[in-house]
Amino acid sequence: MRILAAVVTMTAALSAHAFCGFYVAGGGAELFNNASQVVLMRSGTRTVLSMQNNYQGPAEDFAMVVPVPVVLQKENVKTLSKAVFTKVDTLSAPRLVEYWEQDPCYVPAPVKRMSMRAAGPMPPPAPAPEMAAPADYGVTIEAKFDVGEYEIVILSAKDALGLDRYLRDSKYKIPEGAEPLFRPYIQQGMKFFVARVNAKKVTFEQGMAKLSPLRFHYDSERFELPVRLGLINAKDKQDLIVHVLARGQRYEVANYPNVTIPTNIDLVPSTKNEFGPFYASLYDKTVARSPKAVVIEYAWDSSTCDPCPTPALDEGDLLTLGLDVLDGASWVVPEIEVKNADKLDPQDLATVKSYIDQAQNQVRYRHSNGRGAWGFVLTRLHARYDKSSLGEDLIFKAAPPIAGGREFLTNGTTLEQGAVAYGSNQFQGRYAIRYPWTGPIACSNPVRGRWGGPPQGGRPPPLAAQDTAFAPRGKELGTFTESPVSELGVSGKKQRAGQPVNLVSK
Amino acid sequence: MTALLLALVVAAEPVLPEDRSPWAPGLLVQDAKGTAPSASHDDAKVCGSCHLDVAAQWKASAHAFASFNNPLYRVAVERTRSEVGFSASRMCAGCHDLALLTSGGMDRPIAPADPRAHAGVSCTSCHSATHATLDGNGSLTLRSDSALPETIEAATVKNHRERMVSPLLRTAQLCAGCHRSFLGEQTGNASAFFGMDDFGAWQKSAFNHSTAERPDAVTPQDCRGCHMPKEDAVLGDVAAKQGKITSHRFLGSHTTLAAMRGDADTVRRVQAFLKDSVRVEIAGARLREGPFIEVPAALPLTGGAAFEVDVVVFNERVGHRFPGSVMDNQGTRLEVELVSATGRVLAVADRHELRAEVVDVTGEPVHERQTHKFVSAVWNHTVPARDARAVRIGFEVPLSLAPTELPLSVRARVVHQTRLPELGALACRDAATDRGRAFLEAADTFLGQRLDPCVEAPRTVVASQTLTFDGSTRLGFDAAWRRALALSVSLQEYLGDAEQGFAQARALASSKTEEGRALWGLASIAGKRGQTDAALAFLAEAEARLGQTAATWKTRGDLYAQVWRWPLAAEAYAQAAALAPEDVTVWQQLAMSEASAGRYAQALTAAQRGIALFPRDADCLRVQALALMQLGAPKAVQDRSLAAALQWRVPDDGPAAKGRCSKRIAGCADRRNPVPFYRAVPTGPLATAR
Repeated sequence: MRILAAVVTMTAALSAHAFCGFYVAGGGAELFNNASQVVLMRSGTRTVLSMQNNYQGPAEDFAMVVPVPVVLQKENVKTLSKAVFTKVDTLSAPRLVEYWEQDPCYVPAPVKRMSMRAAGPMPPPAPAPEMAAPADYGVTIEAKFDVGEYEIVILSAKDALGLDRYLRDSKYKIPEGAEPLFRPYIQQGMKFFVARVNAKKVTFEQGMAKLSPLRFHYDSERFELPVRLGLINAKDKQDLIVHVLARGQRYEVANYPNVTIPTNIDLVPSTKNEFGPFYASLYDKTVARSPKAVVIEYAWDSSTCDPCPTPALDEGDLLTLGLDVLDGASWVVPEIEVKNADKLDPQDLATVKSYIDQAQNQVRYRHSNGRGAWGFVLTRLHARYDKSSLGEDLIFKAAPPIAGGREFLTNGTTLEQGAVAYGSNQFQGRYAIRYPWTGPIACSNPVRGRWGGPPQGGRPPPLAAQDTAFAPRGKELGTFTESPVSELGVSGKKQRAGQPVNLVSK
Repeated sequence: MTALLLALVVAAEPVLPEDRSPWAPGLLVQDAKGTAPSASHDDAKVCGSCHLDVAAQWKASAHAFASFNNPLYRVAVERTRSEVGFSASRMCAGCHDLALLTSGGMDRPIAPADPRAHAGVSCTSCHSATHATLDGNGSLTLRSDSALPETIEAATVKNHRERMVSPLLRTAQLCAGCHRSFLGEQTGNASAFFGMDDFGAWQKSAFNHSTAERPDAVTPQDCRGCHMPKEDAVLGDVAAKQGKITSHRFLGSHTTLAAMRGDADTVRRVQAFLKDSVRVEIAGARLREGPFIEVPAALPLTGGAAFEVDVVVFNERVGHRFPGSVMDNQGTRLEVELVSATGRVLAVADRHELRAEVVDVTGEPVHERQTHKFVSAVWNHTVPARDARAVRIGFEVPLSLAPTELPLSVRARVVHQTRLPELGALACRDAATDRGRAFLEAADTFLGQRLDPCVEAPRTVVASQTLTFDGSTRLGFDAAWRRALALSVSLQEYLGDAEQGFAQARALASSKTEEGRALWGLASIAGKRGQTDAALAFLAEAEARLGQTAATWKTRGDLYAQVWRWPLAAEAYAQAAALAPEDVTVWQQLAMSEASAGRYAQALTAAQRGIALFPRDADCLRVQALALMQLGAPKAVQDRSLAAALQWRVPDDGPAAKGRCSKRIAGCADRRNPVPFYRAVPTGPLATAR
């Protein structure tokens, strides 16, 4: 993690991430949103939307205004731990791996082949499910009208119709230019919830406040992400990273071009200290080739990874992100009533309700045989835009599985390039620093290009590129790459990725 | 000009739903005090002395048994009266019990032997109507003067004819008065609920010249055209012309009521009326995890094969949704079977019901017409007029099959039953009570008909298809079009299936019109996915073949609205509205687009046009209220319009109730998918592939 911190150096927060609502505050100062992550879980008509936002503005009370298709109930809104967002981001982020060429004269012991499948390393087995429902799903607390730094206000239908009046009555100033953006939501009967933030309960660092993630769920036949309102607090270019978790299903956007990030690129060793700038450069060049494209950075079974910058998602993570409300009943769930609820102390009642929830979840879990947490595909989509380039809400579409970015040799000799159709989703943005064998080669038939850990043993963990929105941009891609990036017309010092560089020079 | 328009607007009254009935929540109005002239079961007897054929036909109709003489209706309305109170039941009485309603009978206990409780929707219920609004819940104005000719002199008869045959009778608006209904706080409901609306469904259908929903060409029909065709007058009815009389059987779909009455002739007539009103097709198939292929291409269906089929139900000639009437209590099902060559049924999928699932506040489905508990429809698998819906069925072929059992076929049937079995069982149980028996005896006394509420409800196979996947039949344009149409309501992320379907239809088109329709379909799907440029290109191609139609303009509006190009959307919707002025959906969209563009005066005009078509339309009422606020209308006007918008808005607690159903009721969440999937259940002790 120390390496990661060193690599992904924060620069001045000139860029901003988009999110699904907008900020209002009492003063006249400009407010900005400068970091957002969204995780969507989808099954049938159910969508669970979790988002983590940062806020940049005066250290005074402010509020997030978020449009939702239906009037949410209190039980639909929860706060989550930040750790789960970090985990999802780390798992799916473009990653840097290091390989050392193995002794070309080493003769491995014969291995009985078990499968005709890919020669590359298999993903590690998924962790076995616990046989009892976890007591804590990571959902810290059910949203109340006063929880953590938030006061959640679910607007009544009347207040939603007069959103601007409501905000003004609540002593908030509506950002300039905001009204035309939220007007259509009101005209169409969309609902809103307002998450009012008590500035005293938030830590401001360098004028920025990190807010607790919020999660809410609803049912809709539409699967869209409302990002237009995020432009209200846009300062410059915005980055939007959307994760989608769905059983057996990868997603793309329907209303913008989709492009997979070039992957399996060998990098010069110095890139280890500049992975963020490298990736920003790769991303920018990719989008320059496909203007307005949304970039696919990851599509993989959420319970596995290879290589893994962090452990794959387990059942607890999925429950935190929405599995607990994703599926409908396919069996009868016991209904437990507290007959003297009106006489109980509120705290005691909350405790009892918590036990009831646990009991019901255990019944659900028993009937699901653990299946509920299996087979989820984690898709990561990345857009970077400003008001002129991406002004429409994102509409998602189901997409067939793809593979790419694996240490997989096509025809047994050539490292796979790009994304290809595949039976399951195994695509990632993976970049490698490869250290050729520098020892003596004393055999007559040396085998080059076999990669593994360092000679001294051990292996550094993969490095994830996070917060690339803040990385320095504009560096020449060719200064980072050793192998060609054919999609972008960038030539390399060697013919193709996966080769020891000194072979090409022969 | 703008200032003038603004001045006119701010002075304007809001268009609000009708609420001037003294018998609210029923909306009946009478032009003078007194019992409505239809207050007697004697109507048929009196009228029938001259109108022999009409009276005889009416006595076999559901209209004759619309009151407490109908066991299914009575158990439902009596429960409402018991659980909510007498006043709530006036909503029902506005159509079912005019005699009781107008004489105050609904506000008191009703004795089984009260003749008013057996009047039904009698002759004068319709023939005294002088005015009808589109509100529903009995939104008719009835005249109170005598309906009968006092002599048989020509002048008197002429007066009688003029009195009885008003121009209103020839309009669908009359039917709207009772074939559109809604519930609200006055009926004991937590919030507004819109139920049966056969009129509204017809109003925006191609049968009413409205083709904004999709390009279509069908012979227009109104209520009378289907439900009151000309029929031979065999009894000498004085109103017969050239031996024909307008049928007063009002044939619809109520086989159960006819069966309760032991009327085999009417059962047969209703079944014939229903036959082939919809079409069922197996229009797509794939082996497990493979691509969907053109049907009926050959599929290697041998032992152990797993495959899925798309079964499409197309509403061919029903002018409203199929099944019509009360959508929450329809017994119609889709039965799909895997059949061997020897006729053995190997697997069955029969869980798909063509009805709406309405739940109460706890998410519990309401199956016995406890209408006061209605909160929201979780799913609605009825099929709009000239529209299609699809169901995906998964089969697994038994591992061991004798060679003689191949090839295999899939058989799909739409099987109609009038009501859910739960309601029938309730009526049957009630017949064993003293009160139940008393009502049945009274009906026998007044109408000469003894009903058996415990009779087995008739099953009617409305449509069927059997398909053997041997590649012997070619799919035509129409079937491909219908499948694509059905898949175009899929969850947004799966609209790619519909896109492929319309592309397939385009490839099969054999005329400019067919190609234009397929191109319109491609434009529609691209628009729903926010692919504006592609959608516009398809639309241009479609219009080159179809001309500018309501459908192409509406779709253009939809795709501009999807990407928030509000002025362009409004312009397109305005064109669509000009071509399909009775489609409330177009006015809704026009109103919202104008308002989103900040053009509130235009928004108000459009909203009020929509309200005129559907007085409780939540979208139009909302836009009207918002527009009046923005235009600075007097506060009282703003308040009234806002109150109406809030009263008739989509219920806030609806999504929560639906969520509870998904969470608690097995299968509820899965059936919310507009293209639901069902796994066929093997029959018998057969080994299956997995």
